Amino acid sequence: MQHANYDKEHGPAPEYEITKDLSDLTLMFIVASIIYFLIAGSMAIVMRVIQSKLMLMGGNQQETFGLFYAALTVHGQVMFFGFASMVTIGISYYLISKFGKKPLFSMRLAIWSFSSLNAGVILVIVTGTMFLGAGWYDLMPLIFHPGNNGWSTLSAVAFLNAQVLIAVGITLFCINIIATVFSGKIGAGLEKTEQADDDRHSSKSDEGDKGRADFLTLQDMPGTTRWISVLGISSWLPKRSRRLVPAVSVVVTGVFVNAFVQLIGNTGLYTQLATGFSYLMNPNFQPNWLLTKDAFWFFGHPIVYFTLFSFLGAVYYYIPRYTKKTVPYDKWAYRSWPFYFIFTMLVFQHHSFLDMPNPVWFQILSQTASFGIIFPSGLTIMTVMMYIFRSRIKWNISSMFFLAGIAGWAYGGFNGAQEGWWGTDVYLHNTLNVVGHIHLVILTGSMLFALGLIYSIIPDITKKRLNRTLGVVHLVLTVVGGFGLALMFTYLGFAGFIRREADVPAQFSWALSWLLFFALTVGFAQIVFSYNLFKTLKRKATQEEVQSLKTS
Amino acid sequence: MVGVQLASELGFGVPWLVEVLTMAIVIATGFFVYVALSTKSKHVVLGGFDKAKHELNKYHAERYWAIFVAGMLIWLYILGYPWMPPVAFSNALQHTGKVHIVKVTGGQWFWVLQDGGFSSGQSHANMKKTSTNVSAEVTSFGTGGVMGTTAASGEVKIKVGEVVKFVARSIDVNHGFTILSSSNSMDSPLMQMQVIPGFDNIFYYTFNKPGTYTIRCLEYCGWNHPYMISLVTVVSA
Repeated sequence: MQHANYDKEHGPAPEYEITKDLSDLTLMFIVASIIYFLIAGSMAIVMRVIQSKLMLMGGNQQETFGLFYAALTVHGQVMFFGFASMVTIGISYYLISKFGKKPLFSMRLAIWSFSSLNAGVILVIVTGTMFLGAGWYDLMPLIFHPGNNGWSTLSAVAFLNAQVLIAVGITLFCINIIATVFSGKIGAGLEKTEQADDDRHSSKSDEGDKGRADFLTLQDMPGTTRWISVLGISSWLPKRSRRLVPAVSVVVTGVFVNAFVQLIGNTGLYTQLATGFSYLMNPNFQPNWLLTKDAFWFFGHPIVYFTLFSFLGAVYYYIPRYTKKTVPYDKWAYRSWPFYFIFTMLVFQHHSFLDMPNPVWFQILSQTASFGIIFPSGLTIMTVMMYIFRSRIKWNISSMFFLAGIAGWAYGGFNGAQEGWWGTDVYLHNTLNVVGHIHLVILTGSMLFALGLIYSIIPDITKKRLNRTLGVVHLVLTVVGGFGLALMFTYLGFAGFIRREADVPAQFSWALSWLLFFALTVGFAQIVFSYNLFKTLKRKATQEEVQSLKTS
Repeated sequence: MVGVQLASELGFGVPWLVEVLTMAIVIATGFFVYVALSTKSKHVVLGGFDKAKHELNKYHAERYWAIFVAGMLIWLYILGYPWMPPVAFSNALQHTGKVHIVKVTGGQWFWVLQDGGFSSGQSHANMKKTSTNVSAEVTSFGTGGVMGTTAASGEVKIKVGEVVKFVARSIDVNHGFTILSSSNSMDSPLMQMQVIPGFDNIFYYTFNKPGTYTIRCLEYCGWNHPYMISLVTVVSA
């Protein structure tokens, strides 16, 4: 068989070559995201320097604090949209085409989404130089109140336009993914009802197994069947019914759920922006700021999961691949997704725990959804770990990043569950504990998944491998720095270290040097990675690489 | 114990959270390391623990795990239900005769506290939308808006043990009304709520110890946000 040699090393992969245009676009997304990571990371360093009392701005305390909040805004927004969302979109385009075994619905839409997102992120950086300090979630409704010795109306309008461009970029991506999944035929196989007896222990690929990803056939599923399949609902059907529904790859399910949830969530951002523009144009306009703030969080929490779901879907595939097993259409791989779909849209409300005028039912639903989202997360972690358990996994850079990512995401989840209680949120809200949670989930969760995937897909789209030694350095430094930084934030928050302050409580001044050390470690690791990536992209493929990777 | 029943007051305070998180991380890390190390073993013959695991798969280990996780979450939900804001407030108010009302006004960049007298504990006021023009009412306090000269709250006398109903309003942007644990302006939060413009934002709280507490905005609200600080004194009953 054509893929027999490659199976010896990795296990099967879908026999589908994405287009050259899509390869190039995926690379552009990855390169752009790394550049933005370095910019956003340098803003974090600026924040730490200011907190270390190394006064800037000629010793003017007010301006120094203003710089702190501008750096905080650029750090949060660029890390979220410039790095995490950018790399998510780029890799998702690759994954949906590779595992759906079809080209994107529209390459033009994909290019527009890239352009719009980049324009928005660059404008965010520009507004940062105008001392705009709106925070990563726009700090409602502060952003719509220019003046008071703060930023000008011009910078507020520029910032709002940046948000519009970002929202449009993400929306175009969501539409493109949904249209790709629902137009024409899509690769699908048969979801197994149970594990075959030797599935988890066989080191051989079963060539006759039609559930293997590389044996996905293009099928034209009716609309309802396709919905049931791509949302993972079929996995909960009785055995007999389940066999009647063709299963798309779990990777397609992950990317689709991601795009669909975010498309719905984006309405919240548009609502907020429309309110803000109306208020700027007519100061007599009296908006309902509570509703506007809730609307933002309807967007603001899904965007966190947006940086995660596509990668989770991929981990379901890539982990078994590195264990050299057949890639099972295990029903448990799909069973999390209907819950992710529902609770991701409801869980946003716990951001409004302390917005006391919210209705009672709203706050009760907040707490319920906060616990609800833990259920599918627990299933995902256990299922993936069961794939690894006593397997013959190939421990390479990718699989190690994945395992570290699972750990970071799990730790962030534990911490998130604590914050998801109103009775504890009263203490932890606006302390570094929240910062620790977001860093655990994004920095040591989503980002590690993304980096693992980059190491996996670069050889597929360039036919060249990244340098392994530099990869190990990158892995070790990122994991040490990332976990060190995120866990320090978490525990300092427990101790009562309040957040978003340029000043630092005297009792915690000892922590600053450690935070700076871990931040610099993560930053240095990405510089090593950038060097490795750009060097790999620049050089020509070796004969050995051409031979060994051409069938992947 | 009256007033809002917060986690720490029920013995589930921050130290408990630290212990639980640390324990969860240690157990999870142990599990991940164990799984990772398990991959070094040989699997030529299916036997021993491998066989046991194979049997576990056969008997749907994931199913039992799913039931366990769901059960755990339901238990935690029930445990946390008494701390839901309306439930916590209702429970507190059932056992008290009087509620001390403190009106709070926040603006860029000041806090003003005003004694609102006492009301019956049973009359749990709804959190409602306020009139749109609260700024005129606040202007009379006069000291707001000047960096570093936040309003004092000397007229408000709070006693230990009494239920205090904080009714907070904002005249401009979103603020974070927070009472810190001491007069140290960078101490840890004791309670907090968001102050949304256009609404009465209500929080019931009972102080356990006399002393001077810092009131601080914890939601970035503009250039002089770091200086939006005030003090409140709690005396013995």
